[in-house]
Amino acid sequence: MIFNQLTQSLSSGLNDYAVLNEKLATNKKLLAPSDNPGGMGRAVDYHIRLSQNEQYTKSIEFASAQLDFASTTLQSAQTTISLAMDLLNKRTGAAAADPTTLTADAQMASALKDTLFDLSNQQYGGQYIFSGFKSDTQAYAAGTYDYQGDAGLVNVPVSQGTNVAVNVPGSSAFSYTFGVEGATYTKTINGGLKAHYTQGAGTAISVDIYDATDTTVLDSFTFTNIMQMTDLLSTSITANDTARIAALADPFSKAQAQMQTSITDVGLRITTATNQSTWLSQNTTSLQSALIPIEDADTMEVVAQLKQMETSLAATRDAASRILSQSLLDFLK
Amino acid sequence: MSILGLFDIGRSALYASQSALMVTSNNIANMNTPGFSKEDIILTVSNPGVTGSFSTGRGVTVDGVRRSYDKFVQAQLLGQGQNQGKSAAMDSTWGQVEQVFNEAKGAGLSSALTDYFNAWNDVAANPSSQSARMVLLQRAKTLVTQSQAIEKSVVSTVDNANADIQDSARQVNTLAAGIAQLNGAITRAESGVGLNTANDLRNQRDQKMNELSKLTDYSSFEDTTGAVSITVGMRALVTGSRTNAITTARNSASNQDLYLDGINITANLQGGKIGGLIAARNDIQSTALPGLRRLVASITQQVNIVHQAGYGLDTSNGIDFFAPLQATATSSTSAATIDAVITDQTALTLDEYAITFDSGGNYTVANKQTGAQLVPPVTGPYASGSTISLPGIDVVITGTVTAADSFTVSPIATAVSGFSVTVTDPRSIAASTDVTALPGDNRNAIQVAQLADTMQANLSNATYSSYYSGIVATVGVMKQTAGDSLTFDNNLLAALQSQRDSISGVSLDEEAANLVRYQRSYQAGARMITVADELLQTVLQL
Repeated sequence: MIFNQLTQSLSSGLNDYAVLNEKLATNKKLLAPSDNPGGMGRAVDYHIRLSQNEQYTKSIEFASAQLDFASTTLQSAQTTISLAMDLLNKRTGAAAADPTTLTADAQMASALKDTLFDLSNQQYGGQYIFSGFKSDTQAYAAGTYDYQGDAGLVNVPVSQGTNVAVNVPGSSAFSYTFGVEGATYTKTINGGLKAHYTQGAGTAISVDIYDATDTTVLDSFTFTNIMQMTDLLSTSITANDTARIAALADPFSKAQAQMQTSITDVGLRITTATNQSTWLSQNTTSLQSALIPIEDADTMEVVAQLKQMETSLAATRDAASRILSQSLLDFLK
Repeated sequence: MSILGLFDIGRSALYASQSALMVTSNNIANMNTPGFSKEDIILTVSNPGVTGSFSTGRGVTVDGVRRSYDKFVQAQLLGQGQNQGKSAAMDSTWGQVEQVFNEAKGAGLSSALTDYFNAWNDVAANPSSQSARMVLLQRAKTLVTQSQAIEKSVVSTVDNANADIQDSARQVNTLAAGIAQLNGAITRAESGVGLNTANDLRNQRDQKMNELSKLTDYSSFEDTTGAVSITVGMRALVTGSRTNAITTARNSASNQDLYLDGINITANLQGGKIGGLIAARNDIQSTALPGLRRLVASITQQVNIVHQAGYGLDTSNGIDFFAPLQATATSSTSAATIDAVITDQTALTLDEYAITFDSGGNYTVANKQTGAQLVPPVTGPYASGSTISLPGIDVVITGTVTAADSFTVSPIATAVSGFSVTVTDPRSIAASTDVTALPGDNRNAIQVAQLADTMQANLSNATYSSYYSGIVATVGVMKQTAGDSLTFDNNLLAALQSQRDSISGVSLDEEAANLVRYQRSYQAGARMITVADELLQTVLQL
């Protein structure tokens, strides 16, 4: 009976000792679901959410990098538009046509157009960022500067239920609209000439320049984006067509405002991504904190329990050796 | 009494001491024999002889050898042995399942599950990326492999339990045969009169009954001849020196059923190792296994529905991402054949159905898990070859059915074993919702990624992760309960064993004292004969 009890005590004690050792080695108190079924369920849930947070953080990094790139590109385009507007204002206010200056200004306008064309066809990771969903297609065609993309916004999930668009369709950054198709407005330009602006299909805008009495059309032209506008500016400067240059002033102003809107929009998206990143970071910290009492062993407590168990086992062994060595047979000689 | 009577008294003392020494020696020899009950010699005063007007003693008589035995403690031990056997079997079986789902040590499905949906997020972030698509396919294959490994392990545990049941049934039969044999021997040995009992045979029989209690629950009673009758599952296993063997046979669910005397006693076995194995097997088959299959079936179903609606970079459309679910149909008893086909995966509830027939040839369909009739009811007269329409599944039964026939239709039984990725070309991953919006359109990929956080109606409105963590918690609770029961039963069994040992166990100190005591009494008896001899010599020399 004593032997059986000792065997059971030693076996049970050694088993507990092994468990404590494992807790100390892994610094975990949750070694199997049965240790704390409810806790394990929560731990699984928290780990999955942590993994999701990690994924969302990765997506935010990707989105932020692409949006930073888009923002930088759009700011460069904005600067270029400002330079074009400076040129436009200079030519609008110029009293006489100096051929040398005209040629230089026309070349500059052409260079600005090329810059805008290059900017509008920027790629990130091999994908055109201003082509909408058609990310494998150059946004604007060389020569005609026609938009070849679509209006698709590529949204990237940055947290549960929150998406951030990582691209900017060229149609909403390098073009503008001022109303529904057929909408018009009129501006008085050089010498009392009247410029009529009509919203066409999509981003097409047609401009008709009337005489001062607003009865006879003197000139007409159309454009769909800032590159075409800049191209028109370049040819107008070459031809010293001050009426056309003046008629382009309002579209440039609106294009600049549209570009600013796009930059602001991208900035807001970056802010959203950053805020989500901050929230995810805080949420990750909270989840990790919540996991600690479920999973992590209190080292001091485990060490104390281990010592206690060692003492208990040593006492059991000592008692066993003393008891088992005692027998009446030893005293009977 | 003459002087020669002293020799008889001395002889009886020698015989009694010698017998006592034999009993003591036997106790010492068997102190470590399992099931041995300590024995004591019963000595009584021999009938006195009359000498003149008074009577004198005629020595000592050995009346028998008594077992130190408590029937009540023994009965408690048998009962607790059954409980302990059951707890040990359940603890061991659930312990195997727990290791498969042990997320604390990197096992389980949660990593594969999150990695898979995270990979869809990567595709959504960069829908035209070939590498993101290849990673997604790899993650999907990992999810498949991991799910199948888990199912294989759980099924293997159930198979082991079934094999163990079969093996335990053989052990029961062996023990039953031994008990029956001992019954005959005990009856023969105790057929005389007096205090003589077949102690050693009874010890052996008790030991076999103890071993039997670890294997199965049973009831027993001892008749007047000393034979015990044993009933298992309300059927006779041992009657006197005769036995009925337990046989096993697989049922329609491929589980081992136990038969005794031609009757299926499986449902009546609640204790012992067999009872524990049956309970654990049934619990696994009603919780962890269908839970895992339902989870995988839901992922397959929902991902396929969304994926089919989308377009790949190669403009492919209407493609399943995973191999579609297949319905399985099994017949329990009927000679009729049943065939089930999934016709509309969007209408699937992932419930299993039981189709039963009445004596009038009408069928009714019930949810197999809840037992409730479908709403609206699916019922009608049976016509061979006609179609029974269940949510998303068409069932055709061909042949003759009887009132006892029942069929099971399941859309999840092969969900894990048939789980595989059908998309092989990364470009065929349907990340886009519009064929004209390729390659940048990621709206379909986002829809699939969002499934991870969507509450699924066919998972009781749980998300995949919460449903899975529920499975893990359930497995943990089952193992914990089994472990707690085992600890309790072990402690109680040890306490009862100690109680038994305090009554029936051999104390070496006590036996050592007896050894000296009976040695001395033997020496005294011998001395008495010497004295008697000297007295006789004295008389002879007169």
